[in-house]
Amino acid sequence: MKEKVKALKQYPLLVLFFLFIFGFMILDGSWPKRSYSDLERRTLSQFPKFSLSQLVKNQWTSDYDSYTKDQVAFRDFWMKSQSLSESLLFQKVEIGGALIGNNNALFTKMFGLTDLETKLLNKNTTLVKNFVEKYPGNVTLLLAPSASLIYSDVLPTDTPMLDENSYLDNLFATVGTDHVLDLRSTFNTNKDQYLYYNTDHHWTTHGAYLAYLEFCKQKGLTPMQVSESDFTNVSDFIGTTYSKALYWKTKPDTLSYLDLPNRMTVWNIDANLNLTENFTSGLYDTEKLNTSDKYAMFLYGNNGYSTIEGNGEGSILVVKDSYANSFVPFLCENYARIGVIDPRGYKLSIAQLAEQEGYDDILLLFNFQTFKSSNDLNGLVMN
Amino acid sequence: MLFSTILFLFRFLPISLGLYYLVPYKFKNLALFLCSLVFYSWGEVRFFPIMVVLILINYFSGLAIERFDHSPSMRKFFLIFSVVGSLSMLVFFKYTNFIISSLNSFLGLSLGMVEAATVLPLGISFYTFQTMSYSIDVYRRDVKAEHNIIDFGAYVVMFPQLIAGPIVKYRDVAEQLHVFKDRYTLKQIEEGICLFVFGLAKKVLIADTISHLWYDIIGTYSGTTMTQAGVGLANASTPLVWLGLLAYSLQLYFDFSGYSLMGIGMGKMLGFDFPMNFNMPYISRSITDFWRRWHMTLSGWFREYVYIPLGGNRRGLKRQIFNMFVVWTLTGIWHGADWNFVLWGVYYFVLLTIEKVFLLDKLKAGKVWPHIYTLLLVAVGWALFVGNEQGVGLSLLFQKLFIPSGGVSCLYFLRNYAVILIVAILCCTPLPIKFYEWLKKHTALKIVVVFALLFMSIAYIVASTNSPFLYFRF
Repeated sequence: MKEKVKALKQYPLLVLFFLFIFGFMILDGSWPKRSYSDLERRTLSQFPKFSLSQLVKNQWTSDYDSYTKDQVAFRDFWMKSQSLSESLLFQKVEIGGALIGNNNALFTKMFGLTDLETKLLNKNTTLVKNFVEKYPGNVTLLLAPSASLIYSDVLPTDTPMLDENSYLDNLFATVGTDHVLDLRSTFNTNKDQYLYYNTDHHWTTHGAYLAYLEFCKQKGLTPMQVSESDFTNVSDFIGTTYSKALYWKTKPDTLSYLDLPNRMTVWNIDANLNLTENFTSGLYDTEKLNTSDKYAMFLYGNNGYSTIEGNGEGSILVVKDSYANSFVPFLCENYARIGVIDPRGYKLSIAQLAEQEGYDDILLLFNFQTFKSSNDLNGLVMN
Repeated sequence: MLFSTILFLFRFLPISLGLYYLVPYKFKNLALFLCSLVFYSWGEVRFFPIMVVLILINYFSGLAIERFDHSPSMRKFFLIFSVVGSLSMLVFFKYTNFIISSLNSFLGLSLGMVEAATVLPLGISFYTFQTMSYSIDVYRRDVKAEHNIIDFGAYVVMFPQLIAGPIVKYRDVAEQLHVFKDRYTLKQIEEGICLFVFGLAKKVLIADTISHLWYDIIGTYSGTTMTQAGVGLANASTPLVWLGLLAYSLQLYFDFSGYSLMGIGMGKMLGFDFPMNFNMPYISRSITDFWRRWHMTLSGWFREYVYIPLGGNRRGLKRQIFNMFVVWTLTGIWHGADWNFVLWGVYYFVLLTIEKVFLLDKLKAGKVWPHIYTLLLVAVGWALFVGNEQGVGLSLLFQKLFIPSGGVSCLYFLRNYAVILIVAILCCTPLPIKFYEWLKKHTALKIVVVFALLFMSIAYIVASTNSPFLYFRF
């Protein structure tokens, strides 16, 4: 035994290596398991329940593989180290699917459209076109451009981004430019302002307010007048684009919201469009401000159908993705009732609900990147 | 199970090595056999019986060839039986649907694909070649038949080289399989650790990171579905396509040689010295030279079991050229069941024939141009190789390569991948080996380097969302 120890002393690398792989295995096995990663903003795989049928389908082994990866000890540390190495060692300007602007803002990488996205973009364009034709004069499509389009000048040199401009041009032409709210020129003129979060794919509340002003102009409404001091600011907001890149130089964003007293009701809805109240509250879920997912505070996240009591006249139905969540509060000024549909949580006929609830106007509000990949807009075509 | 996973590094490897080192001497092969079976079955449990049948066919054929030592016809019968056994499995799983689709397109038939042959058992191209080498060697009396089925099974399914080689002949390890006491030395294990970590770094830090350049162009696929769009080959400019091809060439080399090196390293940890599989192929000065350096165990296999039995170079130039044609067509089709791989093999047959007939002497006299000539032709070879993958298209790729066209420029890619390209290119030269030789003399520094690479590799493994696996066709 003594001789063996003496022999081992000659091979410190061997000893350290085995100490490491055995030690790490034991540590890893006893490491606390998490259900969600705040850093990556995603749920993590859990220990797969064993069954023979799962094993034969190769499902169990593959699930176990992802489980060990997702629950690995010091996962966040490994993730950040990888990002650090990509940035400092390999000098990359794109990390984990996010492009690093020369002002250190992060942008979602979008070099092209997949076959599926091309199909969905065409499909959604047709759905919107038909919907607009069915309700002439009442429907507006607001397709928010990506941050990377407005701020293309800060992207790394010659980044081969998808030509979003030409896609938007085509799309707007198809739908009919009268029914479209094109924000590009407004955003381009005001690009020195804080329009998009540096760490998140959403626009800022200020960006949403500019969009709201344009909306009012187009609809002939008198917009809500606000000043900086009306907003409540929340610092240390770190968004989803950061979760992809984990870029070490990232500085947190500031999220702001306009504290309005208006009430919002979130509804449960059955197949016959009978509504029952889920809950009623203010516009903002301020508890979310203590979590990593701060943007989810707006309108309590993405609910299937909710209504807001406004201070204006008439009613509007907003069919939307999460971009609208920071936009909708401004509409309180102009409408008495604002309905909000998120098609991810509402799969029924949109036209039928609009008729049943008697909405005067309809606003379709999406970000281009959601619009090109959403397969949830079938509700637009149902009668 | 893949080597570059947490599952392998921190579950399978420590448990298997622990078992292997701790069990009494005579159970070492059993431990290796059982662990390897788990490794093999992990990804496709249903293929477990195939491995068992393959082992049994070759084991009993070996015994029979030995038993009927005086009956040439019986010996021949069992040789054919075992070779057909191994080959038929390879052909069934790998080539059935290729044959069907080729028949369909040539004869205008519409035969259905065989569902059972759509998934390739892990490493089947490697271990069937190993079992064939065993039976043929027993038949030639180059090696004694293995009497212990556990020992034989441990050889066939041994996990370090199961997925991606090197192709280890039975006679390379037969002796060591029967050494029970002192099979491995501490020095050998430590060497194995170093090689394993270097291989891991090659695969994870170089191959996987540089692969993104190519996928930025053609897109990322899961099976046949595009999961992330690239700029699209059709939109890329000619310089970008060449840069992409360079990245793909580097990825292929580091992926494959990294895997082989991990296999060799783990072999050493278990006490086996596997043959080297790659010897800096990209510094070759001729195509002939390249094939002495690239996937050496495969070329060695074909030389020994196909080329030389056909007569090699002993029956005149015409016959030699025919023999080369056979070997290179087979080499091509071994790499994948598709016509572009046949084309790729024939491409090398043509190049090697030209070199054999007149060019080789001129290449030997040259200084710089033989390197350029070789690299260029090898890269074009890889274009044939990758041509039928999702998002590529052989004619589009060649059109883009050879008819200058504008499109997405290569500037962004040069910027984003500059460091990794330089690192990869440097690692194709003898520099890393020189560095390792120097490192061997500096224990503390060696530990630092090995652990730095290991930690970095783990970070990249944990962060990977898409670890491309290039061997699914092999």
